[in-house]
Amino acid sequence: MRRTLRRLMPAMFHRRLLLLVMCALTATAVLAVQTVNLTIVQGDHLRTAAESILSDQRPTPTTRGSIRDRYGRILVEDNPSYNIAVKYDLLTGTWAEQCARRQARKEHPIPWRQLDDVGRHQLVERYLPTFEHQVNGLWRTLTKLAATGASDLEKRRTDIVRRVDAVAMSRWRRLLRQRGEELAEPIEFRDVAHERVREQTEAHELVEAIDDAARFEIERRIAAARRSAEPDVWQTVRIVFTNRRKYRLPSFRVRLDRSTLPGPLRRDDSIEVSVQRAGWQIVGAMRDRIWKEDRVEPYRAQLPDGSTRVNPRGYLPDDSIGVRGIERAMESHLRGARGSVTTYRDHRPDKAEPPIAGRDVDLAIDIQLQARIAAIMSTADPADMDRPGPGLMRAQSWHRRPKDKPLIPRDGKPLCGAAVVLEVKSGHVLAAVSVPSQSPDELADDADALRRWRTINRPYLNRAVAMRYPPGSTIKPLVLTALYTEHRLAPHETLSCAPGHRYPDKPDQYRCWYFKSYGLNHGQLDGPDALKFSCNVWFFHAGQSLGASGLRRWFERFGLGRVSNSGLPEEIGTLGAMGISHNDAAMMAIGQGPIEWTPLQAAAAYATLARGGIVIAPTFIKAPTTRPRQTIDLQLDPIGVELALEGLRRAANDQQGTASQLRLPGGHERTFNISGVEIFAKSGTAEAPDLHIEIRDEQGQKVKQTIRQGDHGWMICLAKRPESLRPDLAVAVIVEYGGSGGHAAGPIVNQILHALRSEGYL
Amino acid sequence: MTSTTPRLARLLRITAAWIALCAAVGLTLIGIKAIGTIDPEYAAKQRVWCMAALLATVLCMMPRPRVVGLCSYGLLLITLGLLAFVILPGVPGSIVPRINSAQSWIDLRVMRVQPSELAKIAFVLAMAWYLRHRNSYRTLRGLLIPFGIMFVPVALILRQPDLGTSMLFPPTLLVMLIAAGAKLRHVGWLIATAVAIIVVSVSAIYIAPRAAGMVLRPHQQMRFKAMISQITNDPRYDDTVNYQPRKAKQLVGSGQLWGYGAAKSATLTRAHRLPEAHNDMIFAVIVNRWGLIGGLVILALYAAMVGSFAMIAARSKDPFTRLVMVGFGGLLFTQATINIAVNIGLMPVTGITLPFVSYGGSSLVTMFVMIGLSINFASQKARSPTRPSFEFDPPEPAMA
Repeated sequence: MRRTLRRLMPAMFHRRLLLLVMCALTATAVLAVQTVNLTIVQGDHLRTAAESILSDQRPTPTTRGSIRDRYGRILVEDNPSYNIAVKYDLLTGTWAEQCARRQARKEHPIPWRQLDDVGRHQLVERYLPTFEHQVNGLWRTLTKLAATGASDLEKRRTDIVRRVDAVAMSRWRRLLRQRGEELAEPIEFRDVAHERVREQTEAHELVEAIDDAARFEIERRIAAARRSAEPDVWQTVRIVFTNRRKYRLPSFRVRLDRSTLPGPLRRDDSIEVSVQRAGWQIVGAMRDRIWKEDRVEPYRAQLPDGSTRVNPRGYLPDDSIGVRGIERAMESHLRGARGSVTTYRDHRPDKAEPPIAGRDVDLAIDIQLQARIAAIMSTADPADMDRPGPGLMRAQSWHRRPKDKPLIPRDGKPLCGAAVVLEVKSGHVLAAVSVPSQSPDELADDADALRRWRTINRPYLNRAVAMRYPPGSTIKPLVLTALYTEHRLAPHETLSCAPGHRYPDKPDQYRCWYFKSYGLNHGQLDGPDALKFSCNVWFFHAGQSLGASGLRRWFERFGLGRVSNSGLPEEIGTLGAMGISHNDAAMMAIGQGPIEWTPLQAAAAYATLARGGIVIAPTFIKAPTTRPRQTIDLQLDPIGVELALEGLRRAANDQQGTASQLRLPGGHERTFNISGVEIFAKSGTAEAPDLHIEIRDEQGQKVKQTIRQGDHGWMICLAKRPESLRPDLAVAVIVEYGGSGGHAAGPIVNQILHALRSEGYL
Repeated sequence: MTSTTPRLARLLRITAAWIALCAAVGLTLIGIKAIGTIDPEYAAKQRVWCMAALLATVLCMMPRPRVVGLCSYGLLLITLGLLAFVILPGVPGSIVPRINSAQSWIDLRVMRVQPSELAKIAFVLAMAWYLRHRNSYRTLRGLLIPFGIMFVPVALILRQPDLGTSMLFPPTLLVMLIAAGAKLRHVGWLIATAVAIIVVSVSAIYIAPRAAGMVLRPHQQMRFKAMISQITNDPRYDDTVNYQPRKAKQLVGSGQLWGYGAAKSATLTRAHRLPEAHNDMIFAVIVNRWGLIGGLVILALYAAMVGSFAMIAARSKDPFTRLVMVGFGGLLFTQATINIAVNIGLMPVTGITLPFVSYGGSSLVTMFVMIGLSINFASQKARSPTRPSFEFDPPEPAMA
């Protein structure tokens, strides 16, 4: 080969030239092949990727659905408004200097190149006043058009700058760490700090909800500025259309007639009780940032072929999302889907996809009834001259609290509690109030006291659905009904309370409250009278007759332990009934020991009884009915149901009924003083576990501190209109550590019945 | 007059150099059109520079090759002086401005001059003059001096810093040494050593970054990492270091066979905000506008130009002329290859322009100076008797 080449090309130089030319041709071929690869083999894919930049898709906002009460009163809705947004450079005050610098350089290009920093600064100073004058004029105009104070505007400006600076610092620190790791050598902070973050190039909303006149004027100035060839400060201003969530939860001033209150609280006048943001715990709230744990649909969906498309139902990081209450439970229903506008840089016409509006939610709640009950349960001091409350949620001397424990709430102390009102026929929750729901104003300036108060009283907790309590004697009607349904006792058969305790040889255990208080027993009682007198021994017998497993089964069927999917995400299920032994059965039958329920479950169980054993799950939502409402027939013995209702009627109305009388300093009074309503009620005084909180001692160690002791007071009532065949409404009230159910919770239920009458339900 | 007329006639005689001139003019015109896609103002300025470059071509056709050779050392020294001047500490920014983090330019108010462009020509001329009658480079030790001479301008250019331009010198020298008859195995060892250093340096970026910092600066290391991430489809650097090459590949590929045409190509290129679209990335603009066909035309014109230089070298008997033409061919080819390789994603970004095509007065004038010298050297009559140069074949064994 070499010899052949030497013969063909005798000169070495020519052979070397040939070698070099061949290498050059080879390299050229490689370049050509790669160019062919890019243009032909990958051409389609690269063309799609390249042309994607010619289109710009912007989402267009949608409207979130509104939330209304059962009568269509709007509680929450989107409030469209026009806001004024201003470029970040203007907010930081650097816009004027930047423009002055550009102007100086434009008008003196050659000297500019020759000048040092000091010289340039002096040149810039000559142009600065013009632009500063523009900026000052803009601030004055905005203050006037937006009808806001200069100090408010200034505060808003500094808030925005502070927030963006924090974002920028966080990003730079992250970049510094990342680049340092990549290059394995220290990087100066100034090497990353010159890269502007997105927020530093955007406009930020400075003034919200301007009126149309202001908007037109600002738009006129912006348009004029854009036409100008010179820099104009109005070029940095934009009008932005937004949809803000407006909570129209009314602040009510409820007039309460104090003439129907128990004796010590009764007055001839009526008072106005202010109720702020009625129903907020049900309606809920939103958060204006999407977090990782939200697990929402992504805004850009990845397709199998690797490409992405915009998902109109998806979320962007700055979107709002419901985090509590109905806003959260019905998020996908309320939200809707944003639309989009695609603009093309190559003169193709714009393409618009319209947004899909969110759908409305109608609650079963009656907001006026909700506000009335919130007023009834106000913890305001009745002695307060400016803002008196009825005093029902304050510990009273006649509440009959046990005296043997040191941390029983003292007289006058505000109490916590909840109330639920159910419409029996539909299972709709007409009202659900939890107290307290707001922090007291007087603690606003004391952060430590406020923190302690919140830890103890938990105003954010919706006790009506999310707090578990021992039922106490209020469980007895269910036990009675179960006993008769299983034919463990004939309708007129009696059981004996004698000798006042269940086990003859144990007089200190499993006692009737009558024996404990007076050393007496009720003798032989039939079922309705057992309820009327709330005889514990009778129900010990009943419970042990049914057995622990039998009771557990019945309580579960009545709804204990289950989440009823009422529509509030905060609703809990509780552990229900958990007893297994013979003695557990006795305790569960009187609502103590291993048994618990929520006020909502309590009201729903009584509503089931009122329906004759038809279970309809309670619900806060009237529409949409996304899931069919299940009805289950417990196949209760109708006679058992009637006997249970008879027992409740006697308890509420007969003179010796445990729910019928209040023993007050001035004598006895009827608990229920509303006429024209048939009332079936059961009180309960449930031994409550001590309330503890964790605090830090002087050494900084965590210790448990007992805050409250005593009994929870229950009253659960069924109310029937005269023309109805069955009870129409179920009301359940609990007062935490309030003492006797009949005395603490009973007057509240009475006032709720008056409120129901005022609102036309009775 | 008597000697001028035959000289002029010889210059105007059709030689292979005229192919180079036609190819150069073709590339320049394509370049002006492509620059006009990005910015018509730049295209207008490039037209003016084209006129100046053609004038430089004519001027370079005048001096005799021997005179050029005699001046080559002095020219190199002047250029080295200018290279040292731009990196001197304390030189005001108004004379030597910092552009794209490098001090590579001297601002003469009416224009800016890049000494490294002059250095390329001066180096080829000086090296050709040095090697023309020697054979010391036939030994390994003898290669030290040419590389030593090369090291001086390379070191000065690296200090600016301008890695891209400095990368052109070693391949040019190697090409000249191969043509001059250096032993191929010596050249092979040198190339293998260089490749090994590159491989070790690139590996060190990942294994021992601090050690790699002795050879490559942080931003240069980042470019290698970014290039490797492109191959492995790692999007980490897509919006930072890989932005420019990624956009270039997209624009190249989207041109497909026939390109988009002027209007849409202008829209697309502007929308992509391709950095340095009018100089370093002009090849991407060309393929985007004229498609694969346009790209192949560019490659063909460079091939024709390099081929014409090879023909001039082959036909010439003068060793200086031979080496100058080979040097020019090597320099031009290396620069064009590296630039196109960057545009199509085969090399990391280096900051080298495309000869004749990219925007830039200094570069265009320098390139046309090469064309002018090519026409000049190609027109020279070979004086006989001239001993054959660069012939080191061992004699053929006698036939029995």
